[in-house]
Amino acid sequence: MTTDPMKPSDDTPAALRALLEALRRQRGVRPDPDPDVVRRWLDGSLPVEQAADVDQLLINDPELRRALTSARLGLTDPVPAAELARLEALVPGGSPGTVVAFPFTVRTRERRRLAMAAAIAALLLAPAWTLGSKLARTHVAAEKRELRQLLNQDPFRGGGF
Amino acid sequence: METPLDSFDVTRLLEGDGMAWREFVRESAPLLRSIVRRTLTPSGRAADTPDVLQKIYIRFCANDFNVLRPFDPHKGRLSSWLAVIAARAAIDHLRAHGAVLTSLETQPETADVSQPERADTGPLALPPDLLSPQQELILRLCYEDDLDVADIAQVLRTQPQTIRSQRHKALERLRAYLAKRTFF
Repeated sequence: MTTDPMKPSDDTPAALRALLEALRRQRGVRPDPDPDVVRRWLDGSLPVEQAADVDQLLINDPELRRALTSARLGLTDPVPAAELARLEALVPGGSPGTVVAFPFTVRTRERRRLAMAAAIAALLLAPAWTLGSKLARTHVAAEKRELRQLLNQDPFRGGGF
Repeated sequence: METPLDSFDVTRLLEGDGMAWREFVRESAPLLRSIVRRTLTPSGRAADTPDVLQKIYIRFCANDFNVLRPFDPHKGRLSSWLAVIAARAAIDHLRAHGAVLTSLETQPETADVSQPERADTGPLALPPDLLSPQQELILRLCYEDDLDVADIAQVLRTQPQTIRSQRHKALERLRAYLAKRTFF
């Protein structure tokens, strides 16, 4: 669940809770439905009056409506084998507590984009680095040559100073 | 509708049964994947389905199956319990990431701007307080979510005939309302 700073927690004083709720309504934030009520609606065990409240929720919240109609119709998707294998591997050997996270599979596209950017940067930097060091070497050699020429001039010869 | 998932014994997971997690994933993933994908698709985020599904299962098994521990088979069905968690996760994902915006570059350049576009998709702009909540919900399920009468009847746990009759009444009321507005 995402945390909403405007959402009052249980230990918030009543007056502040009311104020936060009013602000949430003013901002147009839809209140999160009670999960237990929604579960009972899915089970079909909710009294008629409360079921009407869920109907109202479904009218106003198209995302919740799509999720719950899918659940109530018992619609299923075939799960690709690779995806299924990743989920099964989250608990190796079925022992609780040993959760294996797969950071490289989460947000793959963003990571791929980052890797591409890094590769392009490396490709651009490598010739620049080579050229730069070559230029630096040439510059140092030219400086040395200039210095030698200067030192070879007569006034400096033979410890004139 | 009782599913094979509903007869799965969650205590096997909590007791560390070696094969239980595998079975649990195989029984539940098709249902949860469908819920997540159908929730994300209208916002153009169907491609995020595997990520959201994986987050849900990481949540299930984190902290020694803490999320699944309170489940009581005498109070409700496992499929409903898991469906609510999956729905919540998909909606949270949408709220955190928003809809995918369509680039203007992908739009056809030959569109005739002089012709007003027909709003065939998106939410219906129904006048407030004209229809009963059930009639409004039926119209939205029918015309926004493209469900047929039999599916709507199954969702609302009623007879298809009731749905047809309610839809007819709702459309009649809307027609009368719109005719009156056009006249004045």
